[in-house]
Amino acid sequence: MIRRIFVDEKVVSETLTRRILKNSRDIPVEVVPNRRPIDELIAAAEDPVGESKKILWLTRQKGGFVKPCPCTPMYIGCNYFIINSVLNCPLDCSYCILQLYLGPSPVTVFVNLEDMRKGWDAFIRRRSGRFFRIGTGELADSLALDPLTRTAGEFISYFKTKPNAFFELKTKTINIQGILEAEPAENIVVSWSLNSVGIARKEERGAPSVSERIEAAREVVSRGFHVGFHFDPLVIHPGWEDAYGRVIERLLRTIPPTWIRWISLGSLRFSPALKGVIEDRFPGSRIILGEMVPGRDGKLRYFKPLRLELYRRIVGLLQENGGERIPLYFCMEDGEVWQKVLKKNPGRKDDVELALSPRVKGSRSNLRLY
Amino acid sequence: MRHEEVPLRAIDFRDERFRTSRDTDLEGLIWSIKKAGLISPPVLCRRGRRYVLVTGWRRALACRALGFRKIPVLVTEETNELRLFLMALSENLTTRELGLAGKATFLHKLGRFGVTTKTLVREYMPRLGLPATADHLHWMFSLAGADQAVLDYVSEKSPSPAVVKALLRFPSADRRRLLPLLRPLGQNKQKQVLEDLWEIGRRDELPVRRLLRRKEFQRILGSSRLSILQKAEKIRQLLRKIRHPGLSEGEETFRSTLRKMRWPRDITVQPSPYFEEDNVTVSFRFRNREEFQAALDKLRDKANREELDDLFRGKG
Repeated sequence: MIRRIFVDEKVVSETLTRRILKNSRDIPVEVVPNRRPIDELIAAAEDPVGESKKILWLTRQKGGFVKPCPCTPMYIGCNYFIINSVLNCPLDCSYCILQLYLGPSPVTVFVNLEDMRKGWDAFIRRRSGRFFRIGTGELADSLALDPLTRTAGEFISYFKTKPNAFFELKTKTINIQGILEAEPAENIVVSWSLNSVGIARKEERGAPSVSERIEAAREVVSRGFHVGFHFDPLVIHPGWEDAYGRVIERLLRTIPPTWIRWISLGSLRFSPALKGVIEDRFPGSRIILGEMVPGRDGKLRYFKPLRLELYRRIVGLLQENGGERIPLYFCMEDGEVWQKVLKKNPGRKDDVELALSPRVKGSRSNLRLY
Repeated sequence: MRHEEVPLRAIDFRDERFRTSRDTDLEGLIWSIKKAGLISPPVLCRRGRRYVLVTGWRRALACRALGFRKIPVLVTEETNELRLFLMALSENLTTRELGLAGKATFLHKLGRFGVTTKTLVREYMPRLGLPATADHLHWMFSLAGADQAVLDYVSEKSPSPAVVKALLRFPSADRRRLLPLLRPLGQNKQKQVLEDLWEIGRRDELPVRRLLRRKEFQRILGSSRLSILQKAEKIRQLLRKIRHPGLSEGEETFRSTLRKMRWPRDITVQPSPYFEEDNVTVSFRFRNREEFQAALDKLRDKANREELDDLFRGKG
């Protein structure tokens, strides 16, 4: 968790800066002219990536706040847009791509909220009349810092008035206070990444347990919000069928399926470079020991027959437990996997997007994800 | 510093405190000294009655090999060991390309002469062209502390940092077992062997010595017909098979199906890499209409064979 806060001297008087500092009174704060002292501190640490996750850097976003989700080349994406209001995450999951994608970079909060809203306005104007999904949980956990930033409620208030947007807050935490205080809306989805209890305990350092996450989801549903779940990364490990079966059974016993907007599935995948990072930073982790081979995008994935077996079983478990009508989609998979597991092939990412947007009038997609 | 002529026997060659290179190939230098003499004198410092070499280790060794009794040197009055070592460092950095082992030795010795981790990371690592991070320094220290066989291998073969890193994960006794298998292979294959061995060891909880004692490995290692290169290559293939059993089985099924179908040798057929896509690629060359027609006839014949479906079996 955050142990030190550095504030860019140019943003000291920003509203969000003041709010964060007020909510983090016990954490030492230093105002600095640039990021250099942070980078030096991180470089001198034995574990730079681990160190970077303990440092909060408050600064101004100079680039755009909304970007298309990079997905991965050669596989089917879902036309998702990401909001970069926070970069990096205080949780420390062994498989996390941010270790490589952002490197040893401090947890960064862009505090120029006004600019961000203007950026969102412009983006939404450009996509006028077209449905899109957008979220804050790609380069950060959407709620990990919410006890300090308290922005989740503000973001919900903004997006609930934008009917062509599905706004998703994606998390592994149980920091739901801001959400419980916000007004629910049809187009807001709060989603949790789930895994087997064992994988969550061993590989998701700093994250609450799976049962705590499901309980948080239940509270959010009780407040009137729709939820989503991401079984990603699915990991083949001893007893995985039973382990995932127990989580799915618990999930669908706790959350009424009609309140679940979507469940995404993705199997463990990482670039060869990330494999080295995992080995260095998590020498006890066994996730890299599966039978993984390079995929079309160069990332290592489970040998395809193993992936197909994994997905078929997970989909079977969801169906056996009453989730037959929950929209399912794959993250970074190809048409063969879609066809062989879900018996449908979206062909292009826009089809996935449209199929996840049941409220959009005049949708031309024939794809149904259940 | 003053110029002196010093008897070689007055130099303590056992004192290697300022030595940074283990390069023992003196042939070129000996030829040069024979032709042109010793152009640049080594730098020495006094320790009691003896002299210790600060710079010019290889030059002094070459002169000794040539049977010189005395050599011209520069003797420094400097007594601070760190400053003397920095002298050696500066000379090395300006006169030659340092290998990984040399850089590791430098950093390790600087640490022993009292330079702090922070200074090593911030000042010296960028100067040596290394990533300026403490974890990289830590790794360089472990290389510097590796056994001589590893340091010799690193100096001689200049493996990539990834290969060295992978090798250093093994206990010292295993490294000695592995070095003869690695030497004949190219960089990528060396890395693959080390990764597969390490991961099989972890997955199956099997130390290298026990794995290599298995019958299939012993058959290769003990063969008198196979060259060192052939042994290394066969071991690599065997390790890959153990590491990727599903993929190896898929590849074997594919090959045996082609054998059963008596697939023509002049038409290549390949699955997608790692069977990631659900297609196969057929390719052939032709120079005229007749050759093209002949290839198509062969393919048409194969298209009617039942076994063709087996090429896609095992794909899930």
